[in-house]
This record gives sequence, C-alpha cells and structure tokens, in this order.
Amino acid sequence: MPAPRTAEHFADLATQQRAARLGMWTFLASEVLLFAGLFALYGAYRVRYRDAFAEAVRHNTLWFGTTNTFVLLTSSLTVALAVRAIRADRCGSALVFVGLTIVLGLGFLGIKGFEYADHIEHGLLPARFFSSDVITGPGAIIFYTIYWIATGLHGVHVTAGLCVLGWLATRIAHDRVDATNPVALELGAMYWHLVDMIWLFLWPLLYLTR
Amino acid sequence: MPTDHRNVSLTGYLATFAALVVLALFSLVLSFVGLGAWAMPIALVVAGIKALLVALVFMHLVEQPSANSFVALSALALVVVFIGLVVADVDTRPSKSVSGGVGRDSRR
Repeated sequence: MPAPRTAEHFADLATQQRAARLGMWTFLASEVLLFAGLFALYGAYRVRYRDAFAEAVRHNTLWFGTTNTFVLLTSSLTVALAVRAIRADRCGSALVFVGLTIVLGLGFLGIKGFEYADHIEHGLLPARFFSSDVITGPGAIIFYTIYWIATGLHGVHVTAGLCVLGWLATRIAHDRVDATNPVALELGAMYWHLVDMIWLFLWPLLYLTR
Repeated sequence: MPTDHRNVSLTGYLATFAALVVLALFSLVLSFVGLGAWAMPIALVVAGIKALLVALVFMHLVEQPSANSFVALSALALVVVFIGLVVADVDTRPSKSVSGGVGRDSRR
C-alpha cells in the first residue's frame, strides 16, 4: 500500500496526526455548542412549563428511548474496538467491528423510525401540526417541537456518522487505513462517540425526567 | 512509527462499557424514584459521568496531549455557562405573563 502522505507543512506524520486529533476535538466542540442551543431552549421552556413537560416526557415511550440508549452504547464499544484492532494491524477485525457499528446505527434509526411513526399516528407533531387530544396546551406543543428538532438533528448526525463509517470501511478494505495510518478511523470513531454522547443527554431529558 | 498514544487494553474497553451499562440502568431506575426537583440535576450528573467515560476511554482523551483536553473542557465550561444563565434568567423572571402572552400553563 502507499505510504501515508505527510503534508509539507508538518515536520513528520506523528505531528500531522496529533494536529488532526486536535482539529477533530475543536470540530466536536463546535458541534457540542450547536446542540447546546437546543438544550438551553429545552431548559428555558422546561422551567416555564414544568408540569406540561413532565407530562409529555411521561407520554413518550420509555422502551424506545432506553433501547436506543443501549444500542448506541454498544455501538460506541464496537467502534472503539475497531480503532483498537486497526492500531494492532488487524484490518479484518477492524472491518467487522465497523460493520457491527453500522448495523447498530441502522438499528437506532429503525427504532427511531417506529417511534416517529407512533408519534405521527397520535398527532404528537411539532408546532401547528400538533393535533393530540390526549395531552394538550402550549407546553406540550413546545415540548414536541423541541423534541422533533433535537432528535431530528441528532438523527442527521447519526446518518452522517453512518456515511463516514461506510466510507471508512471501504478505505480499510482497500488497505488505505491501517496500523501505520489509523487516524482517519480514529477521527470517524470520535464523531460516532459524539453522537452517542449527545444521546446520553437527550435520553434523560426526553424520556426519564418524568 | 512514533505515535502519541498507547492502546487501551481490551479489559479497559470492556470495563468501561460495563460501567456505562450499569450507569444507564441506574439512570433508568432513578426515573421511577420520585426525586422531585432533584430528578433533573441528578439525571444530568449521571449522564455527564457517562459522557466523561466515553471521552476519556473510548475517545482516548486520557492518552492524548493535554491541549485536546483543554478544548473539550472549554466546550463543557461554555455549555454550562450558556445553559445555566439562560435557565437562571427564565426561572427568576416574574411568573406573570411575558412578552407574547406566554405564561406558566400550569398556573392558568
């Protein structure tokens, strides 16, 4: 396979890889601040509509959110094991673990899809599309508006993460990512872990704090 | 070739995953306990511990240069300040109607 390419403005490959990891952390920090806006919105309206938000959280199906939490936690383990395997130059194992992560990610989206279908059936939709007669009032409408935006934005990130992992799988299969140059998989895995971390906060806000 | 990391052992990964599962089950159990006003802060602290484990072990922050931790901690601090001030602002306003006629629906 071709030797990893070091850009001319880096002294060596190790320095370039350190810079890549620092750059990824900076990117992830900006992603966190993006979601922070939604979390702040949730917090502001939660203190304004305490009872309505608690009722809406009780109305959400705990089983859907909890299953998805364990699916994403497991996917974080499998992608971490993929990085461990690639560092040890076990490309076949890395490919299997990346594949497992993709399957788990698709499982997450599938479960979320069933949950969305359930919400649509019961009129639990954002803003003026909200039509539920089981829970009512401005607090419920605001909760489900934030719910759809937050989980939708998270779902977009899951989808982007799956695309990145799929691309990385082809890179590993073609020996473009291996023990001498594992940083691409490391960065892709970091993105996937961020997706998991965001969900770790969405889970209690949308399903647990009843 | 030179690298700035050392591999976390397989045991380390599995122990972290086990801790995450136990903490997730703990979060789930807490949701059935009537903690009142403490439910939200406790749930967020447990979520924060889980996120910390993911960052330190799965994202290898513990192995990397401290500059990377600085970026992560800066983001965390800014998020806490941002959300904390927004929530404190809304929570300490007079509970009567605010601009646009939006008030506490539970008091209507």
